[in-house]
Amino acid sequence: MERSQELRIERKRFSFWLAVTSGAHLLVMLLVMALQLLFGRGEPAPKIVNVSLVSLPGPGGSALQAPEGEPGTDASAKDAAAAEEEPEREVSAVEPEPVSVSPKKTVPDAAKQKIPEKPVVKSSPAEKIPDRQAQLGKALDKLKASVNRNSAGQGPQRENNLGSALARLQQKVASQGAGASGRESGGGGSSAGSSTGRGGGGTADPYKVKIASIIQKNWEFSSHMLQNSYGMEVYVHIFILPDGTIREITYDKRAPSAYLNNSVKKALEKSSPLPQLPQDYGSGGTSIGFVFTPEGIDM
Amino acid sequence: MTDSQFGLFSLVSDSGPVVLLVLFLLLSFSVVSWAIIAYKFSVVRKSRDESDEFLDCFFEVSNLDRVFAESEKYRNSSLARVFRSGYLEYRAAGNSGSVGGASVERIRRAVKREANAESKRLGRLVPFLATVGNTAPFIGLFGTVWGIMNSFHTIGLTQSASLASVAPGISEALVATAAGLAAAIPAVMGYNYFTQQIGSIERDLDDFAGEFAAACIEKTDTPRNL
Repeated sequence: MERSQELRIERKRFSFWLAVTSGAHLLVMLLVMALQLLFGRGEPAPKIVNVSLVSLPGPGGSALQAPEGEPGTDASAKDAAAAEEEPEREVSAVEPEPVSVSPKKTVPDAAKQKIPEKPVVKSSPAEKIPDRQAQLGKALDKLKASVNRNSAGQGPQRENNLGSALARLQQKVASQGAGASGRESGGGGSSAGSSTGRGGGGTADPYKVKIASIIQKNWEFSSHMLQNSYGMEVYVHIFILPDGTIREITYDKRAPSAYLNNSVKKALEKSSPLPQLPQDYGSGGTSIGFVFTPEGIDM
Repeated sequence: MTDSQFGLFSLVSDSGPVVLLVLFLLLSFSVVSWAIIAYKFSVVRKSRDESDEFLDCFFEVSNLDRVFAESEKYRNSSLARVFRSGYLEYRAAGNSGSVGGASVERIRRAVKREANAESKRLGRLVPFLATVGNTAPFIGLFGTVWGIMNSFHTIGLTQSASLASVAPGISEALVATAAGLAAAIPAVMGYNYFTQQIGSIERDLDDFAGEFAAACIEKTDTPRNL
């Protein structure tokens, strides 16, 4: 009798401790959650550095150089093909920085001029063009300075190469100026109206170019994650409300890689709300299509 | 987007049903283990402290009746319980007028029986700590293996072996192992502590049983103190 009473008391005590420890576990979990909420927000987001490699003629032999003596192809077409083989070089255009100057004679000038144009058009909005011109001017000055410095110790051949590089840069600055005067190339095409660039260099809607630039900035994607690049294209339609909110994202065609598909979706979600629709589009919103490829965004 | 703000909890909420089940099991183990640890800690500590005080009283007071009266104050002491059991047997033998070798043997048996009962009482629930300590890491490991299996399945579906597709699954899976270890470590520590403490009390009980039997024999031979 006494034993059963003792057992009952022990059970009561144990139940008490069970309740206490349950509450303690709950408290600890809530505390951990609160701490994560408090300190988790303070963590800085990992910085994303966009790198754009601009190919200038140099002794290292740019990967964008067209192969010598290949029959039957236009020089600019060769260059565009080579550029497409190196998608990582065109993730986005930041400021091009000349690395070295030592052009090879065998590379056609027309091809080299087009190399940096693709990234420039891809992700730089219209208002950034004057800055780019200034930067290119600075780069030109640097090149001149380096030419002056090295001219004494270099042979006549190298001098000629530098001279031709300078001439090409001057041409490029001039072409940038033309592009900045109100004409934007479409969908990553060349502002100089290249026949080989994406989009063919035609005029594009400034609003579309602007939102493509915003989406490109928010697109966190690396083609290293893909095992192969075959068929890696995502055709997407977004419906934009007049206030710029993306109301609907429709995949017209998905890529085989879920990573690419998800990165596109995240980029679009992150970009919403976009700038307000211009009045030309009416008050009901509009639908705009994009093609995402590892090389970039096309319209 | 929003769930990523919750860190550890997003990992748990994104886990599959098997991993969730494992986590729930481990959480239950942890709650019960801690309850046993807290409960047993209070029981063992009281028993040890009161036993020490009772022993002092037992050796100071030569009259068994007075010791019996004093023992009422030490309800949680294992030694006091053993003493009361033996003393009641001793009194029963004294009242029946058959105090002799047989009655001493009965007293010894009663003391032994009560000592065993005390050992059982103190050791109750403690083996659960050993069970948790031994099995929780394996249960957690099971959840991890299951989660990693799902991760590899996802890799197959996405056809991408990128870190972005593999890492979340493995990270979710490893939560189960962490939970298993979190449940097992205090359980093992508690088990070792209580085993040592209860062993010490049992040794005291054995010693006391001998002392008490000797005292009873002495009182039986010279019953003037009673």
